[in-house]
Amino acid sequence: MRSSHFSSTLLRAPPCSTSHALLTTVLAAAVACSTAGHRTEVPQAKGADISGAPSDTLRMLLTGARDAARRAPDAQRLYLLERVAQAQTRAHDFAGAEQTLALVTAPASVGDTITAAQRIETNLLCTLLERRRAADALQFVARVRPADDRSWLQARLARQMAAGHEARLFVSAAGDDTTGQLTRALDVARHITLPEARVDALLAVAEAAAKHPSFVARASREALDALDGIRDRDRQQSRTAMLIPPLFQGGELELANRRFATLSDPRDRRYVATSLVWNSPRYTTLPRLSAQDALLDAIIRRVVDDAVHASDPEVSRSVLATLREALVHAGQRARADKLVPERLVPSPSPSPPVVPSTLDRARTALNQHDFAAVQRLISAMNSGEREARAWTALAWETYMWNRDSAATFLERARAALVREPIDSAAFDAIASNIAQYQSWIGQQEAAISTINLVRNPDATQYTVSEFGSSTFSTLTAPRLRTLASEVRRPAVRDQFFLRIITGYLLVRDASPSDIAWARALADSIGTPAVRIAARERVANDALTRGDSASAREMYAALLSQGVPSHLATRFSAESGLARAGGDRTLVAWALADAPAEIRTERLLRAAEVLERQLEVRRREPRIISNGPDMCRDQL
Amino acid sequence: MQLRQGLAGTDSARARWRQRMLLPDVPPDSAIVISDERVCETAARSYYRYRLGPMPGGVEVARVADHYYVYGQNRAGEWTILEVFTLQFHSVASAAL
Repeated sequence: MRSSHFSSTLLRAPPCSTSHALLTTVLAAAVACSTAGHRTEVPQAKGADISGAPSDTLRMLLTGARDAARRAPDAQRLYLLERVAQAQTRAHDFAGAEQTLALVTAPASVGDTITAAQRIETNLLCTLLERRRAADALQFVARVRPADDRSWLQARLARQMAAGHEARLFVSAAGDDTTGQLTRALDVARHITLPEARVDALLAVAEAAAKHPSFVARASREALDALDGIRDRDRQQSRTAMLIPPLFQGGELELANRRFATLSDPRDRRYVATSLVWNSPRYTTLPRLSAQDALLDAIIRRVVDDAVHASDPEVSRSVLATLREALVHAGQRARADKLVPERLVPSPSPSPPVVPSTLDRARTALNQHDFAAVQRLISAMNSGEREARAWTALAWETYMWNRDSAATFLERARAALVREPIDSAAFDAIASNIAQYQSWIGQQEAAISTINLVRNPDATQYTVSEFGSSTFSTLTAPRLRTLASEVRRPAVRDQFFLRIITGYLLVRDASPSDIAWARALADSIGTPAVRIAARERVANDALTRGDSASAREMYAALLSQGVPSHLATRFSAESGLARAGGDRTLVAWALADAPAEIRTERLLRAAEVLERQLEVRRREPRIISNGPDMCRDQL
Repeated sequence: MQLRQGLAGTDSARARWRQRMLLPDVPPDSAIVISDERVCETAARSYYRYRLGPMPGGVEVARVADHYYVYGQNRAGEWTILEVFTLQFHSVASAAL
């Protein structure tokens, strides 16, 4: 096991709140029991570290999760250990994460795919950099074993030093500029032992140094020297191709030309040409412009020649069209007309022109209020399923200006659907959709009647959860309860009970009798998953109204019953319990005896909830991004 | 799933998308999910060929007629790249989904 190098930082904790002190006591006893004879050190400092360290409670929950994960069945152990390490990293328990990392002994990687250990290492490094702990990051990288993992991590570090948001962390005390950052990045990259990682790191530094051609040249020349060490010939070829644009940009034209001549795969030659063309605006200010122009022309000519002689006309067309488009886009139409003239680009393989579909023509007829034509066109589809889909689509496009027509279209959709047998899943999906639209436009009885056609309750979940939600609806709880009694399938009826609870009873101005009715209705639900959702909603409502004691009791009851795994992601009783002041109950639940894999999940969940509380207390922003992360997702 | 939806669509927009993605006018169940490890590995190597670092994970591969459709973790901003290859793994089209 790796030794901890972070503890001195982590234990710099200020005095804590009473609840965390109590929790630590509870945990110390519980973890000591759970490790069955293995003495567990209980940190002396208590509470949350405002500087970002985890609380003792959080750290001990995650340590408990790691101990449980180690005992999990073989098939789940690696997955759970990785999740524990990532949770520890997220909670800034870096020492704990490193100890867990030591337990992650992954099977050999398939090809050169990233391993679980590498994912943990990457996240640890990036999180340390985000926390502005550059010295810790460097020390961590130096400790990583095996050497190949360390090499990849150094490559990522070099890239971040050259171009990441953290680059300024590595600037010397005296202060230096971009070239200082690039020099340091280059220094890290050139000391990487694994040739594959060294080449990629130098390529990344060259890319980051785009505005400094001398650095680009240095980085790419050094990468070139490392190329021969790459064992996989295919990777060696692709990296050779990737090196040519920076060599070109760095003014190493002879080297670029020689290396281009060694490329045997036309895909790589195409990559080089396209990449050079896309980046050509960068080269216009460089010396030796005419020599660069001549080389670029020669490379493009070679790729055009490849394409013209390709055995597959589709490949030929794709290469020539892409190259021409790139040239035109880069403002080099004259060069495009000279080297890749339009006449050289084959036309796309003849495919039938896109003609308006029957549905498109029906839409046009509808826009002209020619209902007879609409009817005629859709009937001509001669398929119950297609007609049902078409009428449903038209109804949804019509209801805003003519609700009566939409209602008629939905009736026709329903009639078409039941006319002939079709695949049951498709049938259920279409029927549920028709019912959803009927309810939306206020046709509630018709909607119930259509819902009764659906055989699989899974298909009605969304429709029922939205039932009567439009402004056309005049439903009330008693009226919807009456309608629900007309629902044929008990499981679907339960969904309606949940809808009554969430949409009509537990609302802002609910009366005590509404609340009492909601609780009774939740208890009457027979379908386990729906009952859990209903009871959770009742508990949430109690918490919202300030009745923490009842809420705590209800959340605790829900947790003790266990939650089916398919509901786990939507289930939030753990956070509800914590918000209701039930931290100790939550921790006790997480530590209770259970099979190792379940115990791990519970401890992780409890830790996640407490971590979120700490974040809120520290007023830390939570960044949610849908774009790639420059440190974790890109080298 | 996206491929099957593209194949199932009957309106003009879907037809244009099919043309751009080189999808022939065939029924939705003509998209076959590939589970052959050798094909998947070749697909992954082709899809990630010019990406720095170790491969971030596997890829999903489907075959429709004479093309492989490969979807992995190559990103363009918030979008993920779907790449179309010939059966010899020459890239012939791509889209950001």
